[in-house]
Amino acid sequence: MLPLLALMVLATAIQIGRRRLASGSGVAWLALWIAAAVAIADPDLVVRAANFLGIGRGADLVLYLSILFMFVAFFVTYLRFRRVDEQLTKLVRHMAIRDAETQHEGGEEPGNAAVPPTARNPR
Amino acid sequence: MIQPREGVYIVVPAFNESAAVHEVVRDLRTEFPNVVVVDDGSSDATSREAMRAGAVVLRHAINRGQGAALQTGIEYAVRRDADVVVTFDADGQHRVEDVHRLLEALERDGADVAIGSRFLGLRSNVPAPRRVLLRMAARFMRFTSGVALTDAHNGLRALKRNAAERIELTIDGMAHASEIVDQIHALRLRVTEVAVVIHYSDYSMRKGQSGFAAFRIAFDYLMKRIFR
Repeated sequence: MLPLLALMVLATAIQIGRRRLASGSGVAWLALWIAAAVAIADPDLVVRAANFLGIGRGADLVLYLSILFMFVAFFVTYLRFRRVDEQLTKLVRHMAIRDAETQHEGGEEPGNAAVPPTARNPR
Repeated sequence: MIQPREGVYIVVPAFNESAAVHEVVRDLRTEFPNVVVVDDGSSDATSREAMRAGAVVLRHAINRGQGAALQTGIEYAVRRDADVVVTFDADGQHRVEDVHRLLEALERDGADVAIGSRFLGLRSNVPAPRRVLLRMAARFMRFTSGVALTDAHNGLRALKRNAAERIELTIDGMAHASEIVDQIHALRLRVTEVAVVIHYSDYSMRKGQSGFAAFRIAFDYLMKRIFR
């Protein structure tokens, strides 16, 4: 398990370096891998943390945290997906209006077509 | 006629409606010169049929949903200096004469928006299950947005320019009907309801929404309300 986690840390660091991951979410992923590595290296630490929170077994704490993390990740992904969806609609709308107007006004270069208001200020 | 017809833009969202759109556009064009069909990524001959019947066609490169198509048509109409934008379904369920009734109501009632209702006076052949469903939808809308309309999801509407400019539909799917009502309310636009007749044909029932879709529509709408 530990070599796998080391690999994940490396992969995450590379993605941050290439700016494919925003530094905020990159750091969150790094923290997750490191926390997992610590829990594997020192299971007693997890047990003590679980007992402190009133949970009997360390494995239960890990399970609860995993589920919580998955919901958070799902939520963030959902929001992101919605934003992409909205941008896609605006793009499709922009193209539709531009094509109609260039045909209408005739002979105008596509690149010079007036920009529909939706495309001007993407949120 | 109250408004000059050149200022009236009829927006017809259409997705795979090649069988019906030609007749719909042809009938509209006998009365209104500006008919805009938004082909929402159809895989059939919807665009060609609409053009053949004399409509301006806006084409969505991919299917984005009826709400998205309406917003595209409304924006185009506003950019072409429309005085009034009318939304009109492509499947032949609306009557052209009802457009006149909406335009008259805008003037008579001094409203910014006129919405058709199949439950006001005039008789539509609404199938019983659909009638119950739409009544429930209207009640749902009254509960969530505080606007009391008798028919929540009527595709026939008329928006004066000021309303068309300010309304921005962001729900791509069918829940846009509730979104319009919300925005009318939020923007404090004056709204009036007009009795119209919906023609339920085998074609429109087959093409239209199944009853179960209501749950998905309500879900879309609530998600949008929560995560705005």
